[in-house]
Amino acid sequence: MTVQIMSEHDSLAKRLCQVSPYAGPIESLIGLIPEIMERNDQLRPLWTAWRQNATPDMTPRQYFDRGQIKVLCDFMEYLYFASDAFARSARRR
Amino acid sequence: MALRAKFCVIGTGAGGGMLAYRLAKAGADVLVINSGGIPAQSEFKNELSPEQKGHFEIGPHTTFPVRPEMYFVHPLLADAGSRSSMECPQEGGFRHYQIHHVNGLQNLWNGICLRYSEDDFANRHSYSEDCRWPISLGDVADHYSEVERLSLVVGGRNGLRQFPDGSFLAPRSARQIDRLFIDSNAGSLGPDLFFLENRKAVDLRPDSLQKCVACGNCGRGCRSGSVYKFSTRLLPEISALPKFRLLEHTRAIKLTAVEGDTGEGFSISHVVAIDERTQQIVEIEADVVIVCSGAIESPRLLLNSFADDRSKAEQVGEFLQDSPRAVVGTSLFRLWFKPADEDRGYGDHILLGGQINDSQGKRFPFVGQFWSDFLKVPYYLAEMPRLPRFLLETISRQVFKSAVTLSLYSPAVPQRKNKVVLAAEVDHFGQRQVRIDYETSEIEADHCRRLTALARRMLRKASGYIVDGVGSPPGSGIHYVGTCRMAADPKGGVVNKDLKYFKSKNLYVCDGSVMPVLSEKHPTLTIMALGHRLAEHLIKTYM
Repeated sequence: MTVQIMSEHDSLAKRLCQVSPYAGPIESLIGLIPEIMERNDQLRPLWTAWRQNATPDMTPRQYFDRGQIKVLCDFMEYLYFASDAFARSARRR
Repeated sequence: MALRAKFCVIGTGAGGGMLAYRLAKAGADVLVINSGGIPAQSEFKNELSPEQKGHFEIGPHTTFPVRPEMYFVHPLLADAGSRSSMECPQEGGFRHYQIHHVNGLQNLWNGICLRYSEDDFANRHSYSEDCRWPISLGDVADHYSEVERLSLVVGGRNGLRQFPDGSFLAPRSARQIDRLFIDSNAGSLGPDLFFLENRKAVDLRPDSLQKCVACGNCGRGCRSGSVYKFSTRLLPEISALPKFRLLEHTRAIKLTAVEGDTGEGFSISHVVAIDERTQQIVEIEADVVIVCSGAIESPRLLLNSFADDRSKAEQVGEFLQDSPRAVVGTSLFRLWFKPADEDRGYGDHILLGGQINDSQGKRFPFVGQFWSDFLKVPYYLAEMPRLPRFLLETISRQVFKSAVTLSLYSPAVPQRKNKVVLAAEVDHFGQRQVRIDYETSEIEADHCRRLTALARRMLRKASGYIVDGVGSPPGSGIHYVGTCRMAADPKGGVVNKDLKYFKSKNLYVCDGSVMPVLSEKHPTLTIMALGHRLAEHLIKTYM
């Protein structure tokens, strides 16, 4: 049961990430995103709303307004810079 | 607990680390104490520690977008609460970045090494008669060379008066993005604009185990360990020496003064410290005490120690300076749709400097760093629903790979009213915190405006058509100097040209606080050279 819930969260998080150009690089962090959003005052309402209201065919852009999309993009950009993905991409260069 | 040493060094930042190393190598009995411990190895690797991975420093109150200065937020940075030296600053007030770990603020250093010039030491660009260098470049030149050798500075030789050459290893070559910027701006300020390659204490030797993979990407502290740090470069060489001791997590809280009868002033008989983990008091008896805790913490220790007799701490804390700077960023259009350099990387490979006019027509020098940088996600592109997704992502990548930031620094204007004073609040250990009174001068504000305009012009020439300015609040330069300034005589400062406290027989200060004037250049190399110079003086005098 736990696995199923986590998987559902992962799927929701993955769809949420599609708002950002960094969706690809941070894909390995998908599992952490719900937890990080839950513990942050600014992100928690967005995650809660998305978790409760998103339907399978809905995209974040259809659900959130422009300001909320910006917050999500800023969050995911930060994740990219704070993660190993950034160091790995630097090493490749 | 009671300890005894010939030399007691308090702090391991740029000055203290170099000083301790040189003393230890000379066989001296050195006891170094430092608030906090040696940063974990994970801080010096490219991979993040599991703790950092867990939440990426995103706390309950982190607000997005994270402010530009928040890129300086590092797990090692002390907060502004009871761990900090200073009271929580007022909104818009001076913000003191500080790290209670071995290496101090050098944990966040990006390695830029610029020697002060003859003109700097001759006070040619000084804005205050109260603050004058009592030494010349000749007094420090050999120490600069030795420090450059020890910290593996890479750089080109340019033969410029404003930027004296040093003992450099071969620099890293300019990248496509650097060449575009240089070629677009060469000659734009006539002979008064110079470009310098690297000049950074970054280990680029091919056989190095700690090779830098993203030279200069140090806004969050160097993860690779290739930027010089005392703990990774010099400490391993001396840590096994029988007369060298490093007490981590030991914070100095008071210097005990004993009045002398020889006319040479008071003596420091003991350093009273506290073990931060056990709260146990540690009393250290030393022949010579050298305070190297930085331009905020050193005056704090002195002011706390001499709170009952303020005559012992006259002028301490005054003339606090930090680098005025202009910071602008953009995306260079000419790099769009071009293949990325093999060695594009990140960070500031080139430095620039020169002189321009202020609004009164008076020349002032500046120095700058140009680096390819983090870019905000161009969410406004992603907000265009009519464009196909693959096109949005392509455009985003083009913007991202061409993102640059240019920071230009001008000399600080020393003002007596900018000072560190004791506050009413106490820290976690019961020691009084400090309050920082700081006001940016009109001259500095004028310089910043001129530099911002210059930076915008330079980026536009390099095809950065939309230029963003980034605010630079007081304290964000993280070049804190001046609060125990050196001078030729006691009326003019706190320490003499050998960094000995004027009023004391055996107390020395060696960190940014002894620099009387902050020129446009980054101060770290000079602090390290002063540490090396003081070590030579102490060896000659006391051994």
